[in-house]
Amino acid sequence: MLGYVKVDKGELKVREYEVYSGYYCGICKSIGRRYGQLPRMALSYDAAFLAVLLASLDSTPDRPQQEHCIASPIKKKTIIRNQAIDYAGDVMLLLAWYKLLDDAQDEGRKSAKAATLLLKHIYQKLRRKYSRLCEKMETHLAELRRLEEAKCDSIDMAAEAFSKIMEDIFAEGIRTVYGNGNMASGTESCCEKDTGDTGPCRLQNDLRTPDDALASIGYHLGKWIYLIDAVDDIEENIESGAYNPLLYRFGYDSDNETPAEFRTRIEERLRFNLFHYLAVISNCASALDIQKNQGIIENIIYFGLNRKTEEIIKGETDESI
Amino acid sequence: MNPYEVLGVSENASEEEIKKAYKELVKKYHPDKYQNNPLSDLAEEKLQEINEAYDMLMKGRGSGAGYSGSSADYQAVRRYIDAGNLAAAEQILNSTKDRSAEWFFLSGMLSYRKGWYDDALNKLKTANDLEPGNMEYSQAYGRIINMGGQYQNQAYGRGYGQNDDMCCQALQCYICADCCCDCI
Repeated sequence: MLGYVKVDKGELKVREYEVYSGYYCGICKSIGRRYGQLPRMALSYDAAFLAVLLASLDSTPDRPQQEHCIASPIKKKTIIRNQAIDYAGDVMLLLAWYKLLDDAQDEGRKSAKAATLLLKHIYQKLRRKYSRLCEKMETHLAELRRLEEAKCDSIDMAAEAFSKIMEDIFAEGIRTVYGNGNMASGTESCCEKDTGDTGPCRLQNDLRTPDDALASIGYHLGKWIYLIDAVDDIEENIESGAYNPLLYRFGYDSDNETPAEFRTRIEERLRFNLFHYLAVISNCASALDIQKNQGIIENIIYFGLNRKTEEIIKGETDESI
Repeated sequence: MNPYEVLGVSENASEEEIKKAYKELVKKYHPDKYQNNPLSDLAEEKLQEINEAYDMLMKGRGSGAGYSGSSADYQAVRRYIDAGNLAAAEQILNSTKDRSAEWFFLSGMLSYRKGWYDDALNKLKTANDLEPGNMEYSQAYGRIINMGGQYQNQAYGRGYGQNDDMCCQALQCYICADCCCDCI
């Protein structure tokens, strides 16, 4: 994941921001404690969202602690620990590992190769712990690569593999944190979204269980991240000639339009797709029986992702929150 | 097999009742519930029986005005999409040569259910262009186009975008800078 999923800090309560930071720093600490210092670099804010969301279905209150941290040795940081945080850390490392492999293969970068050597034992450990998830991820990644090489001109098809990876990550997360079947039987009724709407025109898939809702959030967040990243990279990819699904889907014509004109031409369709993903994410999230940190989750879904979408569509670059 | 018995409804049950009973049963025997459970094979068998019974009962039953006049294949497609069996619906749609408005409509709805919204919008637009007066097609298109707006309204209702005057923009930058110090 790439760090697009963040809170809108200005709209967050101070208390909520502390908790959010506690999750972020908690993931970092969790990685450091179990795998050493090096892989902590892989952390991004996306992981914090995964951890907050996964943990939110459990009513056990968060217990923030104040601890020192290597990144800011003087001021103590708020740290939260729970299983969802450990899981989010593991997933970040897996994604970082696959990214490294890709880099090493792609550009034959020496640094990437060296890093794979350093991380190999960690990957092997994770591979044993999450063999099913890893298998699925590897299949999807191979598919992703294939579509990119084939210069796929459908955004849906191109995004599918990455979205499925995210779906698997969220679905595996709920199994890892809550165990098999626990959630499915426990909170079934609260998750029912009966719109009285049937027939092929019914827009929403049935969200039978929290597992379904979480998986769907993962899938649509994956689509959103994939597309946002493609929009963000338009100029860069035009310059370098690298594959970008948007250039093929909308037939970028380098002779007759500038990248800025291209952006304007496709803006309406981009908005349709991006906001549609967010609409489904928000529907799924409101079907969940959230026990804590609802403010943070809603802030990310309605403010953070919303603002990011506008920024990237307008082509503003903003490297912070 | 008596499909009414399988679904546990009376023989003069309405379509709504059948659908409701079907949904309940699918939920009850859903494979997700039987993961790592010795009864999983049994549940799977039962689910298959339920699906067959449902198909039997729904065959021949029209579902309102929008369903009239379409060929038998498309009835099956509608049923499959409705029941969430997207692979079966896709198979029928792919194997037919017809490219009528209805084909584009159903293909579009199928794409929609898969989460392929870009693709869905293209196909629904084609269906609407081919048959501009069709309410079913234009309603589906309208609803899909409006989803994003609903989200934006909800965000707005929660206060999104209401603090974006100049002062707050300056503040936003301050918050960004502050955040960097905090988190790195």
